[in-house]
Amino acid sequence: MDQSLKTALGVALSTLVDIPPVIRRALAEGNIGINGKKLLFIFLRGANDSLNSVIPVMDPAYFDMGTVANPNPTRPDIGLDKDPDPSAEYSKLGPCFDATRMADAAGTARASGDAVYSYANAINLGNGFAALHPSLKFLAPLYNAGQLCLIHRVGYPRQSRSHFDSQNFWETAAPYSSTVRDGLFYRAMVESGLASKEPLTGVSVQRSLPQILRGSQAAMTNLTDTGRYSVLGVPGSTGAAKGASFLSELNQHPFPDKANREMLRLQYDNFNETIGIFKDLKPNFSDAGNIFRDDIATDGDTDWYKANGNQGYYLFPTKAEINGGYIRPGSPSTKNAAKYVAPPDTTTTEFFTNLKAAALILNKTSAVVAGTQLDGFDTHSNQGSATGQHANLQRRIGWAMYALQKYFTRYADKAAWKDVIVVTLTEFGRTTVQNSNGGTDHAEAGVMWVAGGSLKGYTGARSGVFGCHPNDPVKWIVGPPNQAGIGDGSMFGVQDRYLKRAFDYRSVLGEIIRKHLGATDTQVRRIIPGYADAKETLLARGVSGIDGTEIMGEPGIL
Amino acid sequence: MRYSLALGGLAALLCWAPPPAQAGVVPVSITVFSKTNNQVALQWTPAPASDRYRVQRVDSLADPFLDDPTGFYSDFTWAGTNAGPVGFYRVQVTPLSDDALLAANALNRIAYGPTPDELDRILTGPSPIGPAAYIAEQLAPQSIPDDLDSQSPRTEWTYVTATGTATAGRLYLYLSAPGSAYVDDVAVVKGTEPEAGPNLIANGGFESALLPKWISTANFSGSAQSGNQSHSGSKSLLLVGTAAGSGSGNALYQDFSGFVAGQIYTLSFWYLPTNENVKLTVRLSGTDVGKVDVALAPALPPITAAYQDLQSLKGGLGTLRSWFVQRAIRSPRQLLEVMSQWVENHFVTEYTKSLDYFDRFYDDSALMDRLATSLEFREMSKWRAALLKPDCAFKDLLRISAESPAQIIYLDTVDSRGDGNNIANENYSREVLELDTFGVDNGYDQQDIVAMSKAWTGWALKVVDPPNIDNPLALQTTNKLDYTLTNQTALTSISNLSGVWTFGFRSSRHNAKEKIIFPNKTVPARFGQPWAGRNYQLKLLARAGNDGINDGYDVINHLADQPFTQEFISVKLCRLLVHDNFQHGVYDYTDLARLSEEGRLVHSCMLAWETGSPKGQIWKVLKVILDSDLFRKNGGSMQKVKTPLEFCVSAIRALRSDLGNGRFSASSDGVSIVGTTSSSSSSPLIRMGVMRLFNRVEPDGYPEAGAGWISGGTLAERAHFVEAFLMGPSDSAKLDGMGITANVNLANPVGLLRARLPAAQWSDPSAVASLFLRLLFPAEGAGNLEGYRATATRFLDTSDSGATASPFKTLDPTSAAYDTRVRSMVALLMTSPRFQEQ
Repeated sequence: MDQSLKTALGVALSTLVDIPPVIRRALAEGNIGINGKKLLFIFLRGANDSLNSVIPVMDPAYFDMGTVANPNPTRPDIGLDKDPDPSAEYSKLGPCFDATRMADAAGTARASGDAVYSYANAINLGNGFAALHPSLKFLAPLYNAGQLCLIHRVGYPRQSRSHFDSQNFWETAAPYSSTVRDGLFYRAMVESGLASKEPLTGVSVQRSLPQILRGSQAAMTNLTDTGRYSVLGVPGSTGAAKGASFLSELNQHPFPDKANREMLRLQYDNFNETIGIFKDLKPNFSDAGNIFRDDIATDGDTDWYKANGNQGYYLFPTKAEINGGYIRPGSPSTKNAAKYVAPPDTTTTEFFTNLKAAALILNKTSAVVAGTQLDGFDTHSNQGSATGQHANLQRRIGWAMYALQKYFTRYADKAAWKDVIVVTLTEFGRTTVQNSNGGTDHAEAGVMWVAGGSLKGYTGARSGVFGCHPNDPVKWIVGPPNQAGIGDGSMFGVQDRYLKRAFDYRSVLGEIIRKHLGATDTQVRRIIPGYADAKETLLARGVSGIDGTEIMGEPGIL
Repeated sequence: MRYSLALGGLAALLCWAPPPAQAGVVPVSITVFSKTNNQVALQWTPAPASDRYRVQRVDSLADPFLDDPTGFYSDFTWAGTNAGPVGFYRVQVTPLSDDALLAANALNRIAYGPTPDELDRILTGPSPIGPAAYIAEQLAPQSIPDDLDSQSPRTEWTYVTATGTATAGRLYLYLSAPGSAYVDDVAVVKGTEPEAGPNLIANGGFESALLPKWISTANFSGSAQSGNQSHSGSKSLLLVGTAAGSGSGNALYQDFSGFVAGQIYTLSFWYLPTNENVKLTVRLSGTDVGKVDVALAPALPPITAAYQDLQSLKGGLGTLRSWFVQRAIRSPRQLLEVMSQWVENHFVTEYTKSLDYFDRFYDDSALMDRLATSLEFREMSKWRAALLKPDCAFKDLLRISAESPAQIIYLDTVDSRGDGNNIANENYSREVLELDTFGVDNGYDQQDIVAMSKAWTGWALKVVDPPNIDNPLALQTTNKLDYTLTNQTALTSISNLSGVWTFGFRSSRHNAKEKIIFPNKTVPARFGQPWAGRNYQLKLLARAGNDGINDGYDVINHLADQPFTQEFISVKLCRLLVHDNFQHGVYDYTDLARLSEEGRLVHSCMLAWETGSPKGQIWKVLKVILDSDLFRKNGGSMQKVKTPLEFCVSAIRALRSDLGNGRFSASSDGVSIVGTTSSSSSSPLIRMGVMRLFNRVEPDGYPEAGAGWISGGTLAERAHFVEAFLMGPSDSAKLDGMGITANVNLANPVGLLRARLPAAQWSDPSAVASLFLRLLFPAEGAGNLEGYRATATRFLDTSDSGATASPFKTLDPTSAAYDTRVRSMVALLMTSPRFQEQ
């Protein structure tokens, strides 16, 4: 087949709302689901404030967008400060400052008594320009191992500032499309050819099946509570088997077509087929089965390590008692709230319960994609700075990435860390300038965290930060809006208010789906229809034909 | 030769118009016709709302088609007898009557699902009012009597029943403390139905002296027959206790004959409430089975008590939720209840965010719970009062939301400042356009959001004297909770003020400059007349001091009736009442002939909105929808998935019939659906997909569309809910980890079937299955429910473990086994895919 015909076919197929089953079977190709590669996603709902995640600390406009004569602080209440210690040297190249090993920029070793988040300054990322929020300190070991890519300025053309539209666009990977309604990972699973054969391909563990896994031809699976995935039966002690078998039979009866009936039939079938799988995993899901631990003295806490039989912190803080170093056994046992790795609240326990289940499912079953979500990023007021609302949210992200790396390294069964990628999604970034409530409003480009054992992240010669440096192919322009001869600084690049994008989120996800999950080029054009449209410029650097913005194409993380 | 022609020509022949037959009978298309080993088989496409399918055959097309009763029919396939005749076949369907379909649609949409009694009142009873009258009634809720919130404490004779198994044939009556009680008409019968069958208790009416049958012991030896009071006859029991009783050896009791261990018994009696603070216990021998405790003091019905607590600021979020859900189950004003939830969900707010706000001032979590709840209850009360006016306009509802302290806190207006160099918070400004009025990408852009955000600055909260609760310009109260305070900080501290939290305008925070919103924007051409081309720029002149509050009111008045709002709200109401597939921002109303039926309905709604005076009358718009074919016919019928709230409430209602004497065949305390407190994390509504009533995190409200609610995990929870609901009260699994003390979602399906089937059919599995299919799925038609009926019948004929056959007809209808079998079959039907729909 010549290239132009292939492209034409890709375009034609990309316009299909749902791929008809007959075509779906005929096109089964590529390696998705059979190369052993897996993907774990975390959707950060509400829009993460990216400028306080990966901080452009060398851009003076992050601190002040005015002049010396007329100062106008950009983020007076919520901005992060540079470490005043000269040895911090944010302009110097090298590894990320690792606050899990060092107590300060001068290199003092951490002690067991130090509070987990005692370091309160912007963490030097070592790319000469950017820094991490201190709540993300547990990302440093991953970063320095080359297993973390931080991708800044991620967005899409004609960015919607509506949560619900924009989440939908991220999840369908088709902004403003009137024809593509099904989910990105759903389409990837359909392309694998496994969705109609295997009961488990795409799984979420959260309150509802997210759009990213929805589609009309096959059912993806969502668990709300891993301990209750069953039919109860009447009477309670003996009726479950009868209830389940007759429920399965009821679902086979045909009915006149109605709007939701095919969806219900597929979901009921999927439920019936997966009850057994999850029943087998129940011991792992349970509280008693939460045995997963770090293999080093986590966060320099050697006292805790020794008191616990030379094991580190629990990886999944599903309750406050096993959250970081809070409880140190021994005589006398101590409780120290400064040793929590994540805030000790129900948001944390629910999130890590779900995350643990998602990780277990990837590791123990045939599922290819699994994920969950973290709510609460819509920080319009009092979002805080080094501590506070947004810091608390990010602590969960930082620890989650660290824990997943350890889990898939130490406890690998069907998925080893080299075969796993963890990716975060969020609908947009937030305003560069804080509002009158000490918060930020809806804006434009954001940050994606990508972690995995086979990523091309930091090496001594290469940075793991993508899109946050003035020397990037699409430059980060420092300074305020409307500079004479220069134009807008990047943080004010859209309507003088919003961070301008340099990456399209579809390029990041597309690279992962192509190079990691193993989709063919043809498949990726069906999974992400924008790949079949040259104007979108998703593959390689160029100017978006949609809105004329220069973007970098795929980031090159794999 | 003739036969082969008949077979070969079948497809064409089926296109023929059917011969004149019964009105409403129509042919359906046969999709498969086969003849294998001399056996003819047909398969056809199911038709919606089909009461009956008939396979008809004729040898020669010159003759009339006649029913072919010889074949076997299952799941829209029909197989003739082996070596049966060959000929011309057709399949005919008798649809549900228009009234039956409309009644079902109405009960599924403008009510929280059918109840057996409402089905009777509208359609199947001796003198049905018909669906049109029901819809008309529901469109005027103020004319429907409703005393649920204002009932009086019960002071008259009250009926009580309890069901369970016992360890011995003895019935006890005793009191929890010194006191007395009048009791009459005590009965114990076999089975689950009170007073059905012979009363095993002798002299239960106490018309004779207590002895010899009734024995009084220990603290109750002063009990006696009394002529002072009676429920029936002329005498009753005056139970007198000098101290607490305990049952054996310290009670009034009677041994009854014919006791069988393991048999299920139901006891019943009447008692007269008194003002004594004493509990009366009546129970069978055995600890907790067939036992009932009643407080003798006259009590308010729980729903009224909850309402009074909320009104007097004593109720927390758990109280508000259980009141709201009980109303949904029981209210005669069903459409008002449906609309109350719609309005609450449209102008959604988050209780927890109010809690966080009050946490700035207070430490007492119970106080903060009540304060945050009071904001939710206040806006809900105002919306309900507005909706009870026949000319209630959308503008009224929008204004209530904008002025609601819960909303001012929720979308961050409370701290927003526009004075000086402050950048106003955009949150409310964006969402009032995107979610409350215009709909996303419908007539506004980012500049409009920024401009409007300045108008809302100063809309904040104050603590005012109660008479000023609706005066946003009132000064903060100066009354202190504690008049002895002398410390200056304590004196000025908000936490020491005595008053009510309400909307208060703070002019010092207001951006007083001129604002232009929607500069020179005009209504797009697609709206057609009378809207297209209108300039809808809103210019707010510079305003000083308290006059700045009028920026906000001008915005409300301006947004409420714009065509964008008309369209978006009409679309949302159509999604609520018809089906999910209505869109805003796309229909072209200039060419109605080419517009979809959905688009035309939205247009009709907008015309009703535009032409009324005042504009935007909700009941007028609703009437347009309820009069439409889309609502009345199959286009909308069963096309939606129930939300968790709709699912739980409709499950209770589906089995809820008045069995007399204040008894119902299904009931819920509400708490067992929503949980006790604000933090209940294991209530059914939370588990089915985190439906936190009055406490949603995201401002878009809970989804109408089904895909957001259905997954393996949530189906498991839906199954758990109905199964626990259908379990008998003593089933140890009934609590199902709800995190409360008792699951008071109660069902008595055997009581329901006894009231509705002749005794001769109580043991007929097909008749029993068919009854519940009619009650649960009135819009489907018996013809389409044939598969479910077959499975349900086989279920009834299978042992509880599912392992062996166990014919239903061999079960004694008064036995526990019969009761369990019926309960589990009904649970199965309510776990089914079809019961997820409405």
